[in-house]
Amino acid sequence: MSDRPKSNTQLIVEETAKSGVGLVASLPDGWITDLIGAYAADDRFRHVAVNREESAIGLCSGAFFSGIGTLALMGASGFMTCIYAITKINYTYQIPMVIGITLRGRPGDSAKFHQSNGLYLESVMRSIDIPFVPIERRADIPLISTACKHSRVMSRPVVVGFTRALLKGEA
Amino acid sequence: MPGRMNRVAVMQALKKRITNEIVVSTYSCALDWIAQGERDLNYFSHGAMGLASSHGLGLALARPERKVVVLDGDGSLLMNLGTLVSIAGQAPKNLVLFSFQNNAYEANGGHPIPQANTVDFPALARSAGIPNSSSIQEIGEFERRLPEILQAAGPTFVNLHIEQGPPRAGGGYEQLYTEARRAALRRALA
Repeated sequence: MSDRPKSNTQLIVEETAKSGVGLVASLPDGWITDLIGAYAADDRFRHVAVNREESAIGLCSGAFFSGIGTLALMGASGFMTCIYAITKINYTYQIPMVIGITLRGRPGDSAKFHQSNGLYLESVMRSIDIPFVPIERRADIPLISTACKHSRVMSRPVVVGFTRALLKGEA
Repeated sequence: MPGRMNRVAVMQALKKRITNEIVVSTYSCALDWIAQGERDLNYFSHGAMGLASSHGLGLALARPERKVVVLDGDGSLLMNLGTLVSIAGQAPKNLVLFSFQNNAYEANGGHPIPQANTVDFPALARSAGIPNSSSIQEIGEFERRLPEILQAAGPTFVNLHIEQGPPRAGGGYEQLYTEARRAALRRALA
């Protein structure tokens, strides 16, 4: 057995399984390439690759009614396209899920086209009153379970946001 | 498994035939297209994934005297598949939509698109109401057919089977956003 410490990606996957998530719906962002691959390769999860982020919200909502804990995983830009689905469906019908996103556009992100996320992502989340749990360093990873539990308690989605440094194993 | 073309080779062939068309491009297509040289009639829709075809439709409807050529990715097209119905409904004669099918989200880490190697984009386009829909797998065929594709009354949909390129670390997309480029396009369309 390897005594190498687990990577942040492995720890996130372990925490997700521990939190009761059995279905992961994703659309790629360059930062979560490894994470999506890890979920897809893990028999504890049913992984569904969707073609637009709103589909992940719908799919996870449907799966919730069959009793499966769900994670919708996407980039920050994709999350911004989901506001309608979240507020119209999940809030109205009280459907919990964890939404995992990349915290694009923060200082240090050199991608010009993600700067809009740095400017508006967190204020948009505040404006729709969706709980947001930043996962910025290794020690924060157990908060995924907290977020999942909170989502079920309040019967609404909760967002967990991953930084680049965490996803790249640098924090 | 269909043959695959190199995207740069496709862009080089396209560059030889493009004259006064408006070219709308996004993501990897945009970078490989811009590498072929500056021209004022380039429109970069990069940043809002899935919308290149919608931008192209808007341009085509607003400027019916000009041919509009859209260079879209397969992942982008999947994100806005309903665009095929919108294009069919408006039926602009001056719109050509190229879908570059490399079966991957190349700009986002290289994950396969859903139903990679299985989804039949020309069949989807035909069933949406675009009868002039086809696919090309070989660069010689692309070069031969291109003049007719650009001349024909549209809307025209052509799916290009493309090799997946390497990940674009760091992107390089910032070069698409220069104010000078936007100003040049506005001037050219004034």
